[in-house]
Amino acid sequence: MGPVPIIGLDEADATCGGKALGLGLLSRSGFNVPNGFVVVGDLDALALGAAVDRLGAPMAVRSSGLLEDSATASFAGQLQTVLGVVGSAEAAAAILACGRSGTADRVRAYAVRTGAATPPRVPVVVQRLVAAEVAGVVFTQDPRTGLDDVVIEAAWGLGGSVVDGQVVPDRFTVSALGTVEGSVGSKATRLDWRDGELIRSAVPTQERRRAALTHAQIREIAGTAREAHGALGYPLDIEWAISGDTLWLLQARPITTASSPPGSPAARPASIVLVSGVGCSPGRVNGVARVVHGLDEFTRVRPGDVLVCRTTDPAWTPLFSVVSAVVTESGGLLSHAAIVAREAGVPAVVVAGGAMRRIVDGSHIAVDGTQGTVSARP
Amino acid sequence: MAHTSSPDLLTLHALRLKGFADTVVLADRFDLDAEATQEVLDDYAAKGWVTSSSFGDLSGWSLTEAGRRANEDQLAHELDGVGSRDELAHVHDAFLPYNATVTAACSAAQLSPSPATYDQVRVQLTDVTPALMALEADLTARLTRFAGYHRRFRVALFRADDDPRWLTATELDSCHRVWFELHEDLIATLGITR
Repeated sequence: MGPVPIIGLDEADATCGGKALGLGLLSRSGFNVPNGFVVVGDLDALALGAAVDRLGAPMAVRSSGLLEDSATASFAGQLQTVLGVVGSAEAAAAILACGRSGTADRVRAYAVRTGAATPPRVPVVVQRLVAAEVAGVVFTQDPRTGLDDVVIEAAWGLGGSVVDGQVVPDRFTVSALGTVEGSVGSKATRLDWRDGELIRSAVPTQERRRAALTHAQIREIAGTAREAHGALGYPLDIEWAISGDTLWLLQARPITTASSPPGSPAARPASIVLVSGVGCSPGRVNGVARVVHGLDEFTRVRPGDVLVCRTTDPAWTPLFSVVSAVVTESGGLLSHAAIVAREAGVPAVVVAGGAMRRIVDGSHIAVDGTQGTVSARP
Repeated sequence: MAHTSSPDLLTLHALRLKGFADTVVLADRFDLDAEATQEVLDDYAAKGWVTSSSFGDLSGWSLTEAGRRANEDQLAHELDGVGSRDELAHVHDAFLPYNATVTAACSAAQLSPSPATYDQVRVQLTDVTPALMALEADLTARLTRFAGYHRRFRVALFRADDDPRWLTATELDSCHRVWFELHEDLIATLGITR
């Protein structure tokens, strides 16, 4: 008889993995952590069904690997998070997918080589999904300077947009003295749970340049993050979400030397530069490449895609209001693409020779409109 | 004697210039009747020249590749009929240095937004307006459909005094939008690429 495979999140301990442990500690300290449970070891279908019924839908499923692995695993493209899970069948599939990530693969490979009978799995956290109006991350120490400033990044909708770097977020720095400095990003797209599904949509122009947080919300997030730092005793990198009037803490992990805001280059491993050109609209985002050859292919472009094309003219302007970034082979700092991209607040790289050949339609890419590079994402 | 284009040509050309717009906006571009414009657009849709589509919350007409070719064929036919290809090419050449000034000014307004930059940009754009008026006079002496750019540019500049969005915004008839529309008009009329 093994250990109990399903554990309430508020009872999570060190055997539940780093992510669950952090959330368990915060929950026991009285912070708003969405209800949930942790699956450790083999899946027990009956117990899972009961736990899912108690939790309700929709759910967020995340791997709870060892801390130092959770960062590398996500960069290796392994499944770390599945949002909008409904019902126990979907939950079981998501738990298996997330439990396979990171350490598990290496340990499993070792186990197979050494002939061990049951390869272990990474613990998985299942929580109620918070249908956030605004969400993001907060660092209780400035990862760029090491100072005791609280750095908040925020964007509209669910937190994935900020965590996965799919938009240029707002960024606010709250000093130890309480002064607030900030820059408003562009937040071109948002991900929401609507009518029973996850929907990514374009953010209207006027909402892009409006700060996603009020001063009161900035102070609440900074204050709560500092309290969480105090409760756990180490600097934290926290994913938060606001729904209605409630601030929720979704994930918390220690800040390590490798931590940095999602939008900063240090947060990413060296990646393959597919093409470089002239960065003409600043910011860095990740998205799916959509290589468009002409007017007849416009309908293939989905909100959040990266538009890759030869050049743009007035017919292309509406696309700028739905994409997350633009890459053109021709053009220049003063081209239509450059000026309209800046207007839409989406990063853009122009004069990217060979972009339509070298970037594969449907592939995951990172566009740096400041440096002028387009890189492959693993 | 300046040539006045047919409503059929103007309807398709309005869509070329606007890129993506609904029937009323397209009819307004050349002061055409909205119902007649709707009928022409329906005909063009049946031919596969235009298609109605949606981007985010917006829906309207856009050109297909075939429609873009049809527009260029109509424009080339018209231009050769009027016999003004050389004169228009000359206007395009004269346009290019001002284009460099205007796009640089618009980029400056975007890249270092401040009251001082906006003042500077408004001065630079104002300095271009006499040339724009002269270019438009040369164009409308051949084709009346080129009328209006100078007036619209001046209106945008006037509004930019109170609200700098009128310099570069894409959702307004801003200085950049008007200027870029003229650029597209010249390119389409001459059948050249950018």
